[in-house]
Amino acid sequence: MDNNRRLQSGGRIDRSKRLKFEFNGRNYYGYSGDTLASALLANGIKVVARSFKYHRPRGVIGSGVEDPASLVELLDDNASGNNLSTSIILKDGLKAKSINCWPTVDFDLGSIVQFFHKLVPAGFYYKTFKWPNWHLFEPSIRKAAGLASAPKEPPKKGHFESRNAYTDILVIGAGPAGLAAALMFGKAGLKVFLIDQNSEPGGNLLNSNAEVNSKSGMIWVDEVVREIEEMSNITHMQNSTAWAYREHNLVIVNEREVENPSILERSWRVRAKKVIIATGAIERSLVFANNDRPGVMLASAVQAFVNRYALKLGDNLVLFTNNDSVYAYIDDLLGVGINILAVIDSRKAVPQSCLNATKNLRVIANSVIKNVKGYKGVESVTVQSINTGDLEIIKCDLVAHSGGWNPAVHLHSQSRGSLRFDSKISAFVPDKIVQDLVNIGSCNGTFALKDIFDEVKNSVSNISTELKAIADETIFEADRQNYSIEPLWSTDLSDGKEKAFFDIQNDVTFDDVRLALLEGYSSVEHVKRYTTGGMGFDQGKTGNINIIGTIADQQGVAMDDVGTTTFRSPFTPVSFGSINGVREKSVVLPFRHTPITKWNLEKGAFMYEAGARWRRPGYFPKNNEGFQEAVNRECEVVRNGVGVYDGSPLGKFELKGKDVGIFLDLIYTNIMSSLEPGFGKYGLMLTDDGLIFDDGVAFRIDDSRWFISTSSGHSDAVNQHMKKVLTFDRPDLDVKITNTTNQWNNATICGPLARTLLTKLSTDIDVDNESFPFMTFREGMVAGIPARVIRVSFTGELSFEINVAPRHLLSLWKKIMEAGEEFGILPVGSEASHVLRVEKGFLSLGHEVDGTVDAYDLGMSWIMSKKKSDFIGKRSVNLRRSQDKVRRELVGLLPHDPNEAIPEGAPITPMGNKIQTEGYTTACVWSVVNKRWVGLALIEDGHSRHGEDAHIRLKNKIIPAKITDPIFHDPNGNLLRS
Amino acid sequence: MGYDIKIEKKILHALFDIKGSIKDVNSYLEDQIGSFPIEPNSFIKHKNLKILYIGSEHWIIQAPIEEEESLLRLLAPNNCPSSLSIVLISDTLTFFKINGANADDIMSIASPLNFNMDVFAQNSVTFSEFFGLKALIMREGDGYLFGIDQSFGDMICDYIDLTLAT
Repeated sequence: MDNNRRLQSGGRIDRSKRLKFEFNGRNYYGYSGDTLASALLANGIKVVARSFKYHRPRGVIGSGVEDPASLVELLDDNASGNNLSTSIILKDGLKAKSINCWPTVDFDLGSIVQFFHKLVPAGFYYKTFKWPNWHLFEPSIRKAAGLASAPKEPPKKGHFESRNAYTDILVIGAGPAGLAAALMFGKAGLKVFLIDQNSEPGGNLLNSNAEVNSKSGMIWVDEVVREIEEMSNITHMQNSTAWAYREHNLVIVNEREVENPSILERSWRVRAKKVIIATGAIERSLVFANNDRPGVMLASAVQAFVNRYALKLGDNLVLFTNNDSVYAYIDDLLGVGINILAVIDSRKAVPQSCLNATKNLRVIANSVIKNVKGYKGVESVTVQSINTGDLEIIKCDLVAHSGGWNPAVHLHSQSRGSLRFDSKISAFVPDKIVQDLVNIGSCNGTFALKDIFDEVKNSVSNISTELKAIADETIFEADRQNYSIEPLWSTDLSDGKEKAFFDIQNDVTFDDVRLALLEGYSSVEHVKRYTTGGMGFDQGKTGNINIIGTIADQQGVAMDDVGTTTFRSPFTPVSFGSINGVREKSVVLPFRHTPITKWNLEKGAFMYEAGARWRRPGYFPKNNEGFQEAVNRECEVVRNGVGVYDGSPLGKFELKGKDVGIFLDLIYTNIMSSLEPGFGKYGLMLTDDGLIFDDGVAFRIDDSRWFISTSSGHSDAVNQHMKKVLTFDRPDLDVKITNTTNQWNNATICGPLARTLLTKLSTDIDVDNESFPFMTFREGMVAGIPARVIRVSFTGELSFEINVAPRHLLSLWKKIMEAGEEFGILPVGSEASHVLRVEKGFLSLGHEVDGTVDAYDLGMSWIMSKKKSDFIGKRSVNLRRSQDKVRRELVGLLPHDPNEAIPEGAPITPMGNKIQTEGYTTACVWSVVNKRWVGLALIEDGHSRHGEDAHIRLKNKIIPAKITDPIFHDPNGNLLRS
Repeated sequence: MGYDIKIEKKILHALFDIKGSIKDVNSYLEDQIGSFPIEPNSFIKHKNLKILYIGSEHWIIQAPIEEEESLLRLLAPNNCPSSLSIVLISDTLTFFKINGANADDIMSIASPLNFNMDVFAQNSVTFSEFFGLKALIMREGDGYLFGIDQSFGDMICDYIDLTLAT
């Protein structure tokens, strides 16, 4: 294989830069400027892939993103699942392989399915695999589906990036319309983004011999591009596809060849004052038997491969058309020695202008290709006269066909603009515009170059004026090429012996669509879903219109009445990496650290997320210690000596204003306004429907200043709640809230020796119990650091919460560890904290507070003020409790077997029977003070059932447990007040 | 071929959160530290001190951390009028300073904010999104200064490392 299809001269490839590549394990070469598709064709490779459903051999059909057939998998450094060979820029060392074939693309055992095609019509899966359950069959069907797997690992080198940009004008498409518009806007001094999906600007001018300003189109392109590159107000990017059009003129662009080689792809989120859509048009297929055989190609692609890539793809060609456009290719094809055997034109009368272009070639009017013979290549076509039905066989090795041109309306449609059917060009064109955009050129249904430039001039003039810029007056001149078409949605396929494809990517045939209509799927959306026509990576770019036309024909309705299916993003496949940008590795999920995090990691803490994205230590295993041993050790040191934990994540807010007391009385269930400066209270916040929302403490600093502390996980929610109340419910209150969660970090020392340790740390605060009682705070110096010390307890032991500025926390922490060494101090993780609070029967959000309970359910009626006229949730609680319905109430559980743990969340049913649950276990821990497993549960009428047995129903057994009071340690709270 | 930028990470500034009416704010503070900005999302610089107008009746005073103590004495949060709220918040935000030829590129990667000079001027300041987090963003010299919730500081360092990876 040595580029035997490559012409000696011509094309836009650089023959001085030879590139080696590997395909299906064999080595080839191409040139700089090639795509993988053009390089494969140059080397005579006709079969590139196997089809999705029937494993039919498939070759290259188009020359760009419209190609529905030549998917390949990229390997090694470029590993990526499904890529169009026509969009892959050839690079030295590129490795690729065919998809959906085994053992090889030339000999694929899967192709046996073709013999059973009658058994697998459209809807086969829906009808066959619904019993007993689709999921039973799903894995094997997915495995058999004709796409490549995702790579097992991300690319070894490089990373993805995503960016934002703002501009006056975003021009999408660097064909003649886009280039002209960008140049004129640039000259008008506007900020312009010009993007184009191809490797080179020029659009269709790259492939044709059209002239602009009386010179070759490509010379004009080069001149315009040079001018654009010199303008600092224009950002010009090739290899960049606008794949999604969102609200507020936000267009998402995928840039595939980034100037920085370490960036694999870059995603741009471009917000433009005005979007100019100049995306051109896409040639569509004609539908005839075996129109998918390798060697049957879109006519524009054959021309592109000749002119741009210098390829002579066949020796004997048959052209098949229903429109004028192919006649413009004849000169180019003859010029490289391709023998054009005939032009088959389905129209009754071929326009004289077309006939003039044929150079006396044989034109067979009012005829169609009925069938193609050949398997891995074309051997002949059968031509049928529409009038007489007469058949003629023409031997050939290449078929180029054109069903007309579809304006690329995808982005317009994604912007929520509507479409209408233009019978003059037999295609859907943009109709109503919803966002700030303008369609120009072929995507607007304007095909002739002269008309395109007129349209550009008008649009640029109007938009420049709108954006208060002086419109540029550059003039572009070109001929007006004729274009006429008679729609041909499919040829006569009534004998049904051979397959004719509407949607080559999804193997959707004429018979499939006919079957869908017969079965009553009359809407185009239903036909799409039943047949899968128009789905997948190509989204029906070349075939959808033929399905719509066939539905219209068979139902006898107008095209506009059938309508189109939804044009969804992405316009072309986009890698997940590009969408994701740099959000990978450590930052896949947000994480928060305290100043102690690094110390925790150095001490071997087992870390995990513990609410509100805080990465916290669960426990600190020593040597080969297991989870339970480590947790027990930490609990025991708190119960018998002193431990320290990092309470920094607790939510903290400072409130200031003359109405703070009234406000706190409104959001908490108990009375806070009566607190004296220096004192605080534990409190519950309820939701409007009277359920517990958060618990925390509130302390008064002076007459108008307070601070409150919330649970770590609900800090943001409480902040929002308070602001909502002040904004909407009580805007009359003078309360100013400042979030100080990260202004005050804390190390909490807890245990019987906590006071001794605090004294040893050296403080100017009088720490004896009378001077500094429980639920008060003091400000002073601790270990030489300014601190706010608060006496609260989450463990049930004597505790001092030493709050300092985060910049001082690590220093304080180290001093605590050093001073506490003689007392055997240990750092305490979240797991030990959990055990200690369960032993005390303290509630925990997410465990006992599950979004269904109120304070009465938890035995906390004392916190529900009877004196206050109102507080948030009061009315709802009273209403609910007045109904006197059975409630699930908090109890303790002691498993009959003290060594048997109850899984948290395990259901409790009457006698353990398989009936409706009466509650569930909210927590179960090994109690170091009771030397046994103890649990908490929410159970129906629990408060009146102390002493009874509960039965925890597991999958394989029932655990009996005694119902008790939920406090297992120091029930009177003497220790924490000590 | 990486980005040409210089970045300083995790810088501490003296910060004071000020809430109250402009009348009360001026009455208490104007003589001591200078005038307050009246254009929303802008800042005024008085020597080393910046006053950022970042929300309705909401300002932040920003200064080098060395001046925290003197500002604390000057602003006296414990003794200010009850109609004003002044809270020391220096540790809540960790700052990053970025400048260099590609500073704008890095900002466009991190934030959806429009950094065009006609929209985000030399004296502009705002809270906006930065790598998915809330950040206080302003220009400083030929680059930018942005402050992130201190607890997310390490995560932003990781983000920057990933962005600059070559």
